[in-house]
Amino acid sequence: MSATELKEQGNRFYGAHKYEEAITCYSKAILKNSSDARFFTNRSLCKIKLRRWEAAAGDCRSALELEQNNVKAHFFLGHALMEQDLYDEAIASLSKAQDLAKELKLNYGDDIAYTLRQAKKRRWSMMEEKRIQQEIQLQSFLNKLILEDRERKKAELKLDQEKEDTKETIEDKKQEIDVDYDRHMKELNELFATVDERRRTREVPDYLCGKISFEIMKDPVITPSGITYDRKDIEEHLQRVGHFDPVTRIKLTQEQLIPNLAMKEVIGAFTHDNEWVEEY
Amino acid sequence: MATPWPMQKRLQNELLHLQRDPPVGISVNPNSASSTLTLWSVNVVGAPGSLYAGEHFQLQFTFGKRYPFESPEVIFIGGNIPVHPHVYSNGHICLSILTEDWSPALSVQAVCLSIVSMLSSCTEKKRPPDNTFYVKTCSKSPKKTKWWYHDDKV
Repeated sequence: MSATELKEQGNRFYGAHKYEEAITCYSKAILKNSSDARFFTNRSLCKIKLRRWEAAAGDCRSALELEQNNVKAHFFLGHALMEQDLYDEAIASLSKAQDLAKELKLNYGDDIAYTLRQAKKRRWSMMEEKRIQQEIQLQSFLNKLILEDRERKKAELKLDQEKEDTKETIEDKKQEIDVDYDRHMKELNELFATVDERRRTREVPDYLCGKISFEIMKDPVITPSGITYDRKDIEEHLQRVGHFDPVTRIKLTQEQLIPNLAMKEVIGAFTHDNEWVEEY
Repeated sequence: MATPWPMQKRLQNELLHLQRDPPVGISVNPNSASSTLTLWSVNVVGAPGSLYAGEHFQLQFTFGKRYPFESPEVIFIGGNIPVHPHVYSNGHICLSILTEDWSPALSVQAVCLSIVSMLSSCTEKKRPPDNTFYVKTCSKSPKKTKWWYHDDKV
């Protein structure tokens, strides 16, 4: 069998979800002709299906040595890296795949963008987890410092005692210190609780959401009434429901929709700072 | 990845908001919502000072695949159907925003509030004049009824 025939046989196995058999075919094809990047990317995809991430990444790298602008190789490499929790590298590869696909006008539907969002979201969750751990450490460290400082202050009182203070005033001063330090600790812990609370109730503010989808907008457009909608939703409304602004009910046609660039920038900035928004 | 239809997320959002932050007199039982969120029931209490003060009613929302580009079907269900000139004894409601005046910027919450306010502005508890005829002849879904919004006083 020729290398091409072997590849076609591999593709048939792949189609039948027989990934091991497909891998064998592609490997044989590579032995016959090791300069076709497609054999490597196809084999890589089978390995992805079998969750052999490291091996899948290896095939992608071989493909990229043969053809440095191979979109599939960058895409699959990004996917495999993401699964190995190597998010920065994964995001770099996926972004490269996305740019190349755009440049070469190849249509991968939402596949690349979807994996990229997934990688960003996972990276964000990982960093968030780290931040939480650091905050917990900082909180217990500060609590410890406060306690130690309180004891030090009290110890100093005992030393002063030998001078002029009576037993009663010493006791009063001790109580004052306790009250002060209890307050400090309470304030500190409240501050950390607020941070934690804000984290748990993460929400996209309403003003960044479309008035039809109730979701963060992707392509915000503004109507003559001053209401902003996501373009796809307002266009669907105009086609299906009627020619009026859904909120104000004033007459509206598609030509009157104007891109709301300021809103787009605000949403971009928000998404950048809050990668948890990126959805699966 | 692909949701059965694009607006399921909007329904999820609406349900979450209504659970978390419900307006006075309105509450949703999240367990009453079907898994695809196409059917919910919402509990409504008559507003204080109105003829229906303290009365408990249940509304059933059914969402079609085109929601929110089409209105949901909304009817009263359960043992207590309010006696009101725009509410038929089978639970059907004559309210323009539920058909021709629907707008996708409306929501479950907006519909509930409209219905509570429709009840609140009522001055005499009575059924619509054509109740017997309508209930006998109407279609199962009120959305199939060609409503005549003859009076907007109530």
